[in-house]
Amino acid sequence: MDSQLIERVQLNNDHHAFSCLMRQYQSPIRQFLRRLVQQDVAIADELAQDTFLKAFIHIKTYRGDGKFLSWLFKIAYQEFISSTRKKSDFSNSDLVDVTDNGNFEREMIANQAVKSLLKHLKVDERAVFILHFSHDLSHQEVSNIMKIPLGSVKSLIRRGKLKLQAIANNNEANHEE
Amino acid sequence: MKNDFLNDDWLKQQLKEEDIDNDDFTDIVLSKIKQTQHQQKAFNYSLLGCAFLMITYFLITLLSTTNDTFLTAISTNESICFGATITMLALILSLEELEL
Repeated sequence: MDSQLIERVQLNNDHHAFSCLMRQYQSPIRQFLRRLVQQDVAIADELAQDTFLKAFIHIKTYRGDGKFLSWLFKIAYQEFISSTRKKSDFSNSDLVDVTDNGNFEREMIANQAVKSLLKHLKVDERAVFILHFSHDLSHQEVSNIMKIPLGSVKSLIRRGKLKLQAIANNNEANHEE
Repeated sequence: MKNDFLNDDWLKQQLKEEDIDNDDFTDIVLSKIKQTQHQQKAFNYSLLGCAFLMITYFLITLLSTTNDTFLTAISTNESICFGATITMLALILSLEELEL
C-alpha cells in the first residue's frame, strides 16, 4: 500500500497520494519533534511541516531499502539539528544542570511523567531515547537515522538512563529530608 | 508507580506513542508544497527565457558579423553555431527535468 503511494508520488508528483502518506505518518513525526524540541509545539509543528516538504521534494531519493517512517525520521532529525544551529534557543536546554532540583522537583511531585523529564537530557540522548523507547525503533535503525555508530546509540541510551535515574534518586533523597 | 529508569519496559510504557490529531496539518503542508512548486516553475520559466535570449543573441551575432548568405555565415562561424547548438540541445534535454 505504502509502496504504491510512494511510487505514485515519485512518478507523478501525486499530491493526493502524498497527503495519504502524510495522514499516516504525521503523528509519529510531530510527536518525535515535539518531544525533541520540548514545550514549544508551534516550532515542532513547523519543523514537521518542513520535514514533509523536504520529503516531497526529495522523495525520488527514497529507494525503499528501509522503512519509509525511518526515512522521514532521518529528515526530521536533520531539520531539527539545522534549526538548532540557526537558533540558540534549543541549545540552552542542553545546558540544564541535572543537579538543579528547582522546577524539576515540582515536576516530579506533580507529575511523574518521564516525557516531561526528557529536557534534562542532551539533544542526542533525548533523540535516541524518543526513537528507541517511544517509537520502538531498533538500535540499528536509530543509528541510521542519526548517522552515528551503533555503539554510540547504546552508550547514549545507557548514559541517559543513568542520568535520569541519578536525578530521580537525588530528588527522592531531597524529598525525604 | 515507582520510577525505574533502568528498566526498558517501564521506559517504553512511560514514553509510549500517543496519537496526534491530523487537524489541518496535511492541508498546510500541501499548500506549502504547491507554493514551492509554483516558485520553482517561475524560476524554471525565467531560466528558459534566459536560454532563449542567449540563443537569439548567438544567431543575431552570427548574422550580423557577415554580409554573406546564412549558410555561408554558418560555415564561417562554426564556434558560434556550435555554442548555439549545444545550448539548444541542453535546453531540450532539460525540459523534462524542469517539469514545465
